[in-house]
Amino acid sequence: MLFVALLKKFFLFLLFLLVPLSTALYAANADLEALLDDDFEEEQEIVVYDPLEPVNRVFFTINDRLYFWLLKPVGKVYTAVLADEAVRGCISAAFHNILAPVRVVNNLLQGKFKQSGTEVARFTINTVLGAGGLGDPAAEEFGLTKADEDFGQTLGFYGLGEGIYICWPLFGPSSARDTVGMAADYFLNPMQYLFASNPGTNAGLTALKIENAATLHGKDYEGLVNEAFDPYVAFRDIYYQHRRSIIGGVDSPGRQDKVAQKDKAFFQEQCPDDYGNASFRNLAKARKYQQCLENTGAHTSLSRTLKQGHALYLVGHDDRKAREQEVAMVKGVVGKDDLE
Amino acid sequence: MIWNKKIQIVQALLIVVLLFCQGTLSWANDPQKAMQDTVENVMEILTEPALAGDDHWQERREMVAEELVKRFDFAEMAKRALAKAWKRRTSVEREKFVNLFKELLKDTYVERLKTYSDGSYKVVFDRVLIRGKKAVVNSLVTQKGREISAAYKMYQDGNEWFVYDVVIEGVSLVSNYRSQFVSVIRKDGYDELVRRLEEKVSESRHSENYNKELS
Repeated sequence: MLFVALLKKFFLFLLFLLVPLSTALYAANADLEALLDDDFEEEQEIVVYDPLEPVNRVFFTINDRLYFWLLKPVGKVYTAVLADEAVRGCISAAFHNILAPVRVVNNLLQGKFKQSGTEVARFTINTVLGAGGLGDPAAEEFGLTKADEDFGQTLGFYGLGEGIYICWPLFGPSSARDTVGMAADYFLNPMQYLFASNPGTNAGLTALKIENAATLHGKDYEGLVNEAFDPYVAFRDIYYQHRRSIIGGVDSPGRQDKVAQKDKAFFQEQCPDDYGNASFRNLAKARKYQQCLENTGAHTSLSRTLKQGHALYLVGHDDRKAREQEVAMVKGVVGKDDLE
Repeated sequence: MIWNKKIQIVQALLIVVLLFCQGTLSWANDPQKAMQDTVENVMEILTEPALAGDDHWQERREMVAEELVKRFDFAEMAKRALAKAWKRRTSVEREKFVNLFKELLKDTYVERLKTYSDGSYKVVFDRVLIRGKKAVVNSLVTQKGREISAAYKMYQDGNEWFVYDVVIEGVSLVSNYRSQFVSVIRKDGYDELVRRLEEKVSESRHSENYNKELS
């Protein structure tokens, strides 16, 4: 009997270990969940505000010519000197490394303290052990992966929209918001201060950076231009989709606002009379998710309640409250008896 | 009494098993497994030493295309790429469009996979999310220190899973085409879109023949 009791305790221990684990799994999959919100009837184009399109198209063409007429031919010479792609990869890594202050500060601004620390560690390790950032021992030996953030992302994180689309000559696709971001990050670029007295060196290094990148990613660019029906629109779309995906983490206030708005619209439409009553809203929300989850073929009532708890977390409830609710629900299903 | 305890233990065990299974694994018809198999098969063809080099590219691309068609629903992609415009088309127009776009997507995708031939790419399937008859299978492609995320959106039909969109670093292939189609239709009309599509398909056919002549 004692043995049985011990075994039971062990399983309950496992159960408690697994509950947070499984919620962590769901949280980690939130980005994937967003990908599944794509019912055919609702399928929408990526909304882009582009009043400057005629001008932007001209700049896009200029950049395209710049690539084919200047960067590509120069790249032929450049790759003749630096044939090894790995070497060019190292150069690109060093240019990435020196911009660490941008990433450290923007991680901090978004309250991502751990990631900010990771970037500090990455910069230190890669500068010292990776010969000034040519190598990436931080990722290879220490498992510290990049935590890319810029000021455009920071602004987006706090819910600022892109504004108008801008295709800059030389810099390429951007938006009003990301242009402000670029300008702000400029002051965090150490190169401005290292070569402050020598603008020629700075310009030369920037040219090297662009040329180096062109030899590494030129083929991708050519492929995309070649495949596109309208290259200008294709690149505008790629830029916006990519930016939105890196900004729209579940934890960002911007995303939470959007989810909340969607929810609000849903309830206003479904039950206009009762709308406005806070307790009703929560109840309705839980019911809605219950309904959604039933349609998804959740296996057991336990997994369903877990998912529901997570769903509440997703719609913007604060973390602790959702967790408490989750535990309460688990208790309800497993039975008080089993938890004691 | 002991019988009751046993039932409780079995219950607890079941709960543990279920917790492990939900989200990360599913027993039957696993979309991740399906995608993994397809990718492994394609990589095997691409890196097969006996078929290496540009001389054999034609042979390899046909084998790769054959493998892709089994897993990728190019027709569904065509439909989704047209989206709203799809509803306004007649069944004849739809069929023509699907056939053309299917060909183009297949050719484009196979051509993109060509760079994988040098064997320097590694694909790891890290996460999967299943929601009813839909799923997202996420993979990480690493090459020379660069890591790219590629997610496959899939739907279940009977016992099989099919891909209806590929999302690379947050950029959906279908959405990207959709944005372009909307813009072309708005500016030059649907007929112009079909004309460009035909042009592109014949272009890729031409380069295929050109490759054939070379080999």
